[in-house]
Amino acid sequence: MAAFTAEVFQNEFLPEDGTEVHAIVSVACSDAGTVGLGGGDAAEMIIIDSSGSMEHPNAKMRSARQAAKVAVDEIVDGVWFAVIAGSNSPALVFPASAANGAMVRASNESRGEAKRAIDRVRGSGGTAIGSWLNAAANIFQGVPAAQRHAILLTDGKNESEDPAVLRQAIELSKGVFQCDCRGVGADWVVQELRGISTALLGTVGLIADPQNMEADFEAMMKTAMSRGVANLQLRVWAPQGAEVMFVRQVSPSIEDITSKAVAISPLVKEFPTGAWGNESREYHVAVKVAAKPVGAEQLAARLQFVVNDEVVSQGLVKAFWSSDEALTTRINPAVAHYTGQTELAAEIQAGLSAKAAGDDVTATLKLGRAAQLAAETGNEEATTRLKKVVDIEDAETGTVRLKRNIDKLDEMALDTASTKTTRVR
Amino acid sequence: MTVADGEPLPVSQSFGDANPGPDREGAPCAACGNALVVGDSFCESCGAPTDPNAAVAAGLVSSPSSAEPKIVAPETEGIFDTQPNPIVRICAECSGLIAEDGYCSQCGAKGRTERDHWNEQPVPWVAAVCDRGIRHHRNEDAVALVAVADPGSYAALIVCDGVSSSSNSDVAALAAARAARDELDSLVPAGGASLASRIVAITATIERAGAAAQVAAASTVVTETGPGSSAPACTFVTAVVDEQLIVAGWVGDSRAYWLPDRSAPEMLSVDHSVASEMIHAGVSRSVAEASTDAHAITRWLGVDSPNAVPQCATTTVFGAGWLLVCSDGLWNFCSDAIDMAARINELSAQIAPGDPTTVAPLPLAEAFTKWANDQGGHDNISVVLARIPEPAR
Repeated sequence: MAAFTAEVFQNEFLPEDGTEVHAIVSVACSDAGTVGLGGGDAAEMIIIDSSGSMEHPNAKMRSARQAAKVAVDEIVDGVWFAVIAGSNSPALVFPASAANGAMVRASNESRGEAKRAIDRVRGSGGTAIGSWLNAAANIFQGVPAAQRHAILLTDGKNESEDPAVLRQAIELSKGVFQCDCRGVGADWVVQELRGISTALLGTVGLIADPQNMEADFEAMMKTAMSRGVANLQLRVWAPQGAEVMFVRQVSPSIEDITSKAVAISPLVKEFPTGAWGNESREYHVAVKVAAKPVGAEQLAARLQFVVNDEVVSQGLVKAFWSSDEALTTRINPAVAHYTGQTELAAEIQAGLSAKAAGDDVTATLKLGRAAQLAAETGNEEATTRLKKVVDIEDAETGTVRLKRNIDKLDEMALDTASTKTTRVR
Repeated sequence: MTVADGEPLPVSQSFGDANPGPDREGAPCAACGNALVVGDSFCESCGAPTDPNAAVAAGLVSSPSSAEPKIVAPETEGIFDTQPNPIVRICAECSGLIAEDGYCSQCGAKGRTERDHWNEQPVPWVAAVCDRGIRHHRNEDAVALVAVADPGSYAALIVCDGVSSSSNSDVAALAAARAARDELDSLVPAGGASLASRIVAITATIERAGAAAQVAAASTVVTETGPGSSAPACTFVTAVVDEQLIVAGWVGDSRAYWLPDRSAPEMLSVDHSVASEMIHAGVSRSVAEASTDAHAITRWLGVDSPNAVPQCATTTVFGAGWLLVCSDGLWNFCSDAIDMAARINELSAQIAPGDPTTVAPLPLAEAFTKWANDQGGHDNISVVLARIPEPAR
């Protein structure tokens, strides 16, 4: 039986007339078990790009086949699964026929059959990712699974369908399955895949060298199989008259989940966080409450973690109005750290998009601020990635110069990893 | 005692960055079972005292009752005795339900414990309200009452105000007030005795009550230690009504006022405080009470008390009026007897516009408390009132 613990970090002291309460809640799961054990079946889908470009160089297609087979080997017995190859339209690679429902349960036999089918996949045609997602959502809904997860691989831009098709497909897939997205090479669009992974509670990643695909797929599938908790909801209670300003996952990566809120009562909102294994994540919750007199104490939020409508852990966010400036001006280190990391991600993304648009002045400013924040928050990985795109003259003041002739893959690596955060030291 | 703004929270009640951090978790609370925070003297969840000895001393667990049959014991005697979890389950601010975690499920206000706000009305002519106020994190005031049913015949009104810079002063104040009450409960109203002999008897009883209160305060278990924290200490004031006599006895700056309907109001007690010494030296009351260390008291009850013998003063009742005993959480906002009388008239008129003299002491004490909170509630507030009727001719 999975066990959860939640811990709240905040400075609960507010100055007179103070209304904004910020807290980081750290939640950890242990004894998660394996996929499908949390009650209800699990389903897995592997979606690999089989457009013509995957054959140029053909190492991409070859690695994709190998990676998909390795991933299939990781699927535990009894889990429903299917494999899709996507180009202008999706093709069902496994199972071969949709006669008995379009997914089968994993076994030695079915895994072997799936791998043989994957070996026959060849690349041709275009890229229409929306159509692949639509097919995945349809197939997933054909099995009675409580937990559904997909891995999506592409090497290109979504150029063979109307962008609206992808937008609609994402909407349709929300809440149906979670999706980890990977781009191989330098010809795909980070924004496009991030749009999918963010909406579908997954991750986005760059595979610069096709050789690394196998290990990446293996790790992703292992993680998916270790998620014994099908769905954890973050339930946020805020007092009458208060406003939940935002709810963000801030660790291991930044995902703003504010817009995913489902109101379950006038004072309670629920935010889906997807499936959980043995892991810990952190959320930044900000609530605006009505000011109370100095000395007053107030609960600003109850943060509950809920599985199958049962509260498995709870943290309290408090407000305590004080006239002692030594107390009220102190910013909690965790709140400060993740506020900085969130800004860091935003500055990197804004800087790169300004650069892509040819606005070097804005790009230099934004990436300069990013270099400053990376140094301040001790995010050495971000600093390393930034250094491949800019020359950092002075991290303290955020003075940088854009590099000439940079490798596009370095820029994409900086972009895809921008939301990765480091923990509070 | 009021301490200026910016007073540091006692170590025991400080809030860390993490709540509750795993390293701060202690034994389970005896009342509600939730984990206690090491060093806290009250349970974070239910407000019950964390130290079983303190709980007994505070009367929160069980304490022997000593009510004499002829004296009407406070009907709320068992207020902390009967409820293992003394949280009031209805929110004082919005009437919502207080959730298991101790906060209102509607507005999020912290659920009040019985110790935060309670009232007593042993007989219809005597009542007390004791309230945490707004700015203080716990109620270090305490009240206790003795009264007989016949209006104006006999009552003892007691307030103790815990010194906020000392440790466990909330426990000391409640223990002291109740110890004094038990002594005053034993006083036999001497019907027919001469005025002089009655004054002597009452004064002697008040001195015994003060001594008992001193023992209780001085023996309060110290569970808090920290920088700036001193031994448990509190003030003491009582006003005893015996027919047409009122005798007040006090240590510190909690006060007794006699506020007759038709003649001049008077403050019966004279604070043992720096401000009082300044006034004695010729400084005006308003200037003295506004000075920085005005509220520093020069006498108190507790193990380090310089002089615990109550100073006494007597007055004679010639007409109906209000006897008021209170802590500085109230009188800070209307110190002068004339202002206090004006305030009581104003509040009475609000409660009973038709005939203010019909107002009962409990609603009036609650109204006084609310008024003090509306002024800022800077300190704990105790208001104890007895309605003295017209003397029989």
